[in-house]
Amino acid sequence: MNADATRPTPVPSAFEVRELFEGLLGRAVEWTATSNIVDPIDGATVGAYTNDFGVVKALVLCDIALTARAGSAIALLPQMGAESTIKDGLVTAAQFDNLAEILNVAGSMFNRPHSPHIRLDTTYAPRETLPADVAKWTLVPASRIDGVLTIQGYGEGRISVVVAY
Amino acid sequence: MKVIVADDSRVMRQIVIRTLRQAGYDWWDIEEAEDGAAALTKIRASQPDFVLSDWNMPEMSGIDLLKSLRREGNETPFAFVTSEGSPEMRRQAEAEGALFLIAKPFTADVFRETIDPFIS
Repeated sequence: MNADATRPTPVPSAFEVRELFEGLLGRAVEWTATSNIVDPIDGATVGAYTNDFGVVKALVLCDIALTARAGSAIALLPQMGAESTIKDGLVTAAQFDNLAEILNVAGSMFNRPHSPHIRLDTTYAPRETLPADVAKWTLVPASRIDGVLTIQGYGEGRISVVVAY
Repeated sequence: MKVIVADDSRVMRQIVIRTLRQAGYDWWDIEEAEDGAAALTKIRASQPDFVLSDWNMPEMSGIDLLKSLRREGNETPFAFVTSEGSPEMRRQAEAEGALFLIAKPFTADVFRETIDPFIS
């Protein structure tokens, strides 16, 4: 941990989340705010971010639709494959690996000057059992942002970003 | 101009190469390496003009790759594109002779603004 970590980890803005996806996917992405949070029980890819002591400090949850669509769009995989995934509820290894790469880069949203250093520790696949110290943050009502990302040419999916407090 | 892009994520290599093209470097001859050790072998064999490397990679990290090159007297221009750009990493990269460190996520504009001065 850096000695001058005097500010709390920020909850990213909708703009930052949208910019992250747009930059990595190389195509237009729209953000729509929603109160409909991503619940792991419905199936979600979960990125858990920890500080230098291994304590969970933030989560990014992407529903199966976003996992399939963003995980396909980033590698220019066919959109039809993403639709099959959503219909069957089973993400492919490539879609999951690609989304994990996005979640790795997403760690940059939490790191600011004077905030504690955190990084992606583990990415959990949809319906994988979440450890207690991850699960307890998924549904907290505060310190979070929830939205729908619409990816040009691929469609929409939901994302929730939670900062532990 | 021959360039090697080293990153253990295939999709991230694609993104780096796509962004380089968007930034106007579509004339570069780009070779990919999937980790630091593979990059070292390819750099020795093809003697590129420039290396763009991730930091965290299996087999050999980006900073160890840079150290290995310099230790054997290889002065190929070298820069990092990493998902973390802490001040400590930037200091270490500079100390080992890296030209610059670009933190992910990046844009074509950032690539252009950072790389252009070194090309001219």
